[in-house]
Amino acid sequence: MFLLAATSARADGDRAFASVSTLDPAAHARLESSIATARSREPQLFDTVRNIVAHADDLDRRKEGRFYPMGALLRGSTRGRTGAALALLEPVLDPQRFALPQSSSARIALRAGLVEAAGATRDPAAAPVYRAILASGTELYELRAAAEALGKLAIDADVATLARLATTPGPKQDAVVAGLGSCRRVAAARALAAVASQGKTGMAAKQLLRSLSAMGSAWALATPNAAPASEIAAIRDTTARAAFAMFVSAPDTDVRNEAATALEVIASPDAPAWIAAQKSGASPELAAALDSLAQRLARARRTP
Amino acid sequence: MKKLFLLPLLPACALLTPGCSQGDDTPPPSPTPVVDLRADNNRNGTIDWNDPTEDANEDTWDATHGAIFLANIDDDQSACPKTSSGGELLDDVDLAQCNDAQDTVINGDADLLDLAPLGTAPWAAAPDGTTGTLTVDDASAPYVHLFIQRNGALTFFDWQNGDVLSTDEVRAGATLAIEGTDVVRDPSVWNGYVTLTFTIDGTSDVVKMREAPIVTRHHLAKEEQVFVQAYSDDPGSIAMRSTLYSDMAGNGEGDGTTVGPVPSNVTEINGDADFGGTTPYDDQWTQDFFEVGYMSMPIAGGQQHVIDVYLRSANIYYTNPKNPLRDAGKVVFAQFRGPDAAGVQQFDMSSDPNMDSLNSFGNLETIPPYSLNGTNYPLGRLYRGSIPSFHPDASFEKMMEAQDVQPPVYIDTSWLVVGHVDETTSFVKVNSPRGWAMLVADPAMAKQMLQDQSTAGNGSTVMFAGKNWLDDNDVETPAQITIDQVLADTDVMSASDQAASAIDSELAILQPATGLTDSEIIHVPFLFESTQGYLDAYQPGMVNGLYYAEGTFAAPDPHGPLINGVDIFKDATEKALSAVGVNVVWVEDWDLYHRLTGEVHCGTNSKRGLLDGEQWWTSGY
Repeated sequence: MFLLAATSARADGDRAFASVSTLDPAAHARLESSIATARSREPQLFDTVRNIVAHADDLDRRKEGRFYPMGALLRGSTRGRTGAALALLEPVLDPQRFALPQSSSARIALRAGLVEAAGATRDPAAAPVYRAILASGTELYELRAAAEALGKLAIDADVATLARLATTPGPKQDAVVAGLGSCRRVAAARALAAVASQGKTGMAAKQLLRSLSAMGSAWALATPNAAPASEIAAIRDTTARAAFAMFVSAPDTDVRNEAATALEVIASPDAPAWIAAQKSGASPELAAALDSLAQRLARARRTP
Repeated sequence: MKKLFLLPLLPACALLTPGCSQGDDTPPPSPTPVVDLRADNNRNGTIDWNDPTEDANEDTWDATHGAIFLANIDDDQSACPKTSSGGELLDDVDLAQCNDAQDTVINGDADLLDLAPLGTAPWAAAPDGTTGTLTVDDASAPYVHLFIQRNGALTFFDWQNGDVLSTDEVRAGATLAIEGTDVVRDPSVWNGYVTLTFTIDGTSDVVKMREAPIVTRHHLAKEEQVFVQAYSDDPGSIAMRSTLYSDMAGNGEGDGTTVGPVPSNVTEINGDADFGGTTPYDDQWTQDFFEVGYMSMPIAGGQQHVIDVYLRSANIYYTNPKNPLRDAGKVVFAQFRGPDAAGVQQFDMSSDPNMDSLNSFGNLETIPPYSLNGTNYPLGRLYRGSIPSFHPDASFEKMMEAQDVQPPVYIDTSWLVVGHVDETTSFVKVNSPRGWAMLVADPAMAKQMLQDQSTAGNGSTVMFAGKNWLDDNDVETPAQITIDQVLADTDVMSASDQAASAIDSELAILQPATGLTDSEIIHVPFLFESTQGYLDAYQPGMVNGLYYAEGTFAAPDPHGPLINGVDIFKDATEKALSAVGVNVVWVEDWDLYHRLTGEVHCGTNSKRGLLDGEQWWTSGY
């Protein structure tokens, strides 16, 4: 769970649904029209989403662990369907049409899951909804999902917005940082690197490192269209350097271990050289940690 | 309801009566004061009056000597109330309050066996008016009861209110017994060690005893009972039980639609059970809401008397301080507590609800016994996901650590949606010097296997064939997906990459802690996915299975791609485990478990026996 500052967004299941109050009316109307058209083409897809929404309370009640994986269910259930993003965002835009869950945890899971699954489609038509949530949202997981979804689209102006929100201390910072790992752009990597220099501690530091590792993941970057080809090397270098800096300056073992995990995921070919350079003049404790890191990276089985 | 237990029903007077121990070794009358308190210091189950090992160093306790007693918190007469007048199960606090130690009488024949014997040597020449006091140290006083044999029965010895040994009792020697009234929960309050002091005329004899700790079981111990939730009409429950029971009967996987006879060693918990209009057991995560441990003490004949301890998970679901816990955990008291079976709950209402999942017992496993660098762990070690910033209920963790015989190993599971150690690791008995091996989830292996198939031209082969994400209301949402689609899925690859590294971080703790070599680790291939920033098994997580019988591991059916008719993930796992002598059977858990982020282990539980020669008191802890 994110460790948040007092002013940060929090998990909140009290409200019925995502806030899209700042969505431009014209954009809202266009989306409504698109939804109507998509429904006429693929009614079963919309029935599927409606069915899942109707089951949200029951699924949540039967979950194991902190969340029901609504995003995974919705993503799997709508995978490859042309109008998937529209079907998934209909409950966000027009919640009154749906039998919404009553329990707090089901609401959190459903709100975030719908946005998360829509984001997985990488459908740019949905971008206005994500922007509206980022602008007016206050709930942690909803904001995180919107940042992730917008990050996956990687539109330049949105990347700039996300970078600004990620680097600006405030109620949305931790949520945006948590979602930004899916935005595989250099500007986003630099934003996370800047956050890394802010001295985050505890779970906030671990969450930042997870975003760095998600962004710089060697396996992810090897998939088609994960990032612009011209930016991949810089993304990997920036995220790895930030993770390494956090490893060196880690205030405790937990953060240091998380940084080692991130460095293994990113698999920068330069990491061994950074380790060797850092050992010069390092304290005995840091030198030992660097040795362990070097051994770990050498052992890691990574075949992007 | 309760009755005094009369002397003629004593199972073995040798246990309790001076001069009635093994052999005729009654001490002769002494002209000088005899102040000799005895407990079973030499741990042979009897009070031996002429055996010097019974007396030597009795005021200390270590691996070689020192008497033991039990927390007598079972319900030997099955007398504890379970339901209200309306038929609902009692509130959590009320349910837990009842047990045999909550009164000061002996609750039947079986209850007597739960008490540890004590005795004072006779001083036949004691002058008229001589009395003896028997006291307990201040810290222990609230946690033990003493009993004394009077008028043919063991009765409460109320030493705190002036009860003393009479002249006749001093002269004849007293037969006494001790019970604990609770388990050790917080060593800063009481650590389970009791100092008993017997005094006559300013001369004292001191005996130190220890309350038996709760010991959790591990996979080397023979399974005695398997528990599984049963929903009569749920297709997912039927599929799970159909395949599991058929496997257990040696009949293959079963058809997944018909539940055969329930094996004799299976206890079904009725998920549909109605208590006054409520269904508290409607919770399919059988692994999570209870854990079975034991406590034991030596008895005659080289045996030990065992009380099973059913621990209830500290999952806090509600704000009502009288009834805050996960409903299904009531089964610990309402169904399992009984003769030689105790229930224990421990929780802190102020625990962080965001970390609540860590309190489930899929996140409390036991690493089997081993030795490393001169340190022995003969009872194994507790194994949990817990880091300073993300941990289970601190009061429960303190209670488990206070048992002190299974030093814990903690890893970071905060990256998982569910956060349980059973999602990535398990243990199986193998024929090797160590005697066991560890199964570990291996996303890198899974990815490589899929890449190999893609390279071989099988990228269009589907996995998850015939499975659905949600199939209610006749709305089918097929889950099947091709190998190439999976490999091209940036999100699944990113999550699996992160999982692979996080699991390496787990190994970076586990291998130094256990000495496990790479060759003692069995890699189990499956990928991960992300939800709300946390990870869970994308494919049925085959490591998350039940080691239910000697050499048999019941794993979730992975529904992997069929290449030449062979599921490549099943095949790889079967080969890896058969190489160490473990047979894999496959269980269908997709609908009720995998889709809800759990697997076979999460949906089952087990009670195991003790290893041959297992004696916690010789563990050195």
